Amino acid sequence: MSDSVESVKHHVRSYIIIGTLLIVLTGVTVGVSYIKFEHSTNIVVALIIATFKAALVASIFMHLFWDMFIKMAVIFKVMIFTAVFFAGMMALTLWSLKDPIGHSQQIGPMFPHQAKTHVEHHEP
Amino acid sequence: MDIPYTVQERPDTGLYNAKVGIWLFLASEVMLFGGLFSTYIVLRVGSMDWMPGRDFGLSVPIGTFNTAVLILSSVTMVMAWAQLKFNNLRMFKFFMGLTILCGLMFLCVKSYEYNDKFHHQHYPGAHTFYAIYFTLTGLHGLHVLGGMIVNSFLFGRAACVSLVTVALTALYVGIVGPLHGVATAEGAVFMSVFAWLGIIGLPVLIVILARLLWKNNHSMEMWKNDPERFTNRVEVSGLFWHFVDLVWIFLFPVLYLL
Repeated sequence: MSDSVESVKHHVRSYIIIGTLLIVLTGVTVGVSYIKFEHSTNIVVALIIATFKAALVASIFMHLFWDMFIKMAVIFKVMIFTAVFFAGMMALTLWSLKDPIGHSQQIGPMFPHQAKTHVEHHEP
Repeated sequence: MDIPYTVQERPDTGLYNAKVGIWLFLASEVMLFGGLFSTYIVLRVGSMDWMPGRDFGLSVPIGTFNTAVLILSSVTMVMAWAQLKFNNLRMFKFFMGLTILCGLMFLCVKSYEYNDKFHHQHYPGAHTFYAIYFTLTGLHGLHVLGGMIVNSFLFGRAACVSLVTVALTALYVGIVGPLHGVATAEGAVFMSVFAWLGIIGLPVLIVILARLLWKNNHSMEMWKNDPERFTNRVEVSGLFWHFVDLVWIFLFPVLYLL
């Protein structure tokens, strides 16, 4: 962060405004959750608000808004790598839902060619 | 020998060492909580009878109150750091004290929620929702506890009182509660998750408490001798505290509302 006393004085007001906004947005999240949207819209809306709130915390309270491109190139790289790995982990989770272990066990053996060999071996 | 770059910025990174360290640590924390969030997704999608947390008995007003408390603590934390920049130790103590009190309030409310669940026999083994609820909020609670310990260390002598309170809360939530729950069938699962957290966490707390009691003016000595380094310590502690707030911002809607 630009750490001079003058710049910090300017930021103090924004801390209070953002804090108030975050509490208001918490109320909005709760209010919206009682509205019955179609399908999974409730989840999407709640997560969008939560992501916006998290972005406010990271950018204002954690100073990324002022620091990101000034002298925190290292942090920026760390965050990009983290985001990539996080996205990969979530993608893996979602992919796994389409191919659950229990499901493949119900369908049959994991390696069909082995099963075929096995069957051929026992057939006359 | 002095540790280099505790105040000055390293020429290669442009940051002092502790700031690089805390951001790398926070990156690992993202993956830790990310793993648990992906577990939540798997459990939720795989469950036939998943409902929003409020239908499982979680109180939305209490959760909302706790969210506001944590957000308020983030504001006071960053204000505490700003006061050090203004060379105002008295106001730093005021805001840091408020931050610790907010953390304490959050844990007390969480403890109340936990005990309410235990009272209704809602242990982690009762439903996959409770399993992920207790794991996520328990881990988050430990992070709050950790942040409070560091903040108390930076605050100084008076914070020891609040730390003892926290230690007693952790003792109850981490050990007494599970021992009470062991009488039920779900108690075994409960023990495996929480008792170990309590058993591991308490000695750490005791060691830190002992150190605080022996050398509890360490922070104020540093403020007198090396104020910039002390300010950096508060900033690093603040980054961790804001991250804990950030995680809760996601946990609250996911567990209570959706």
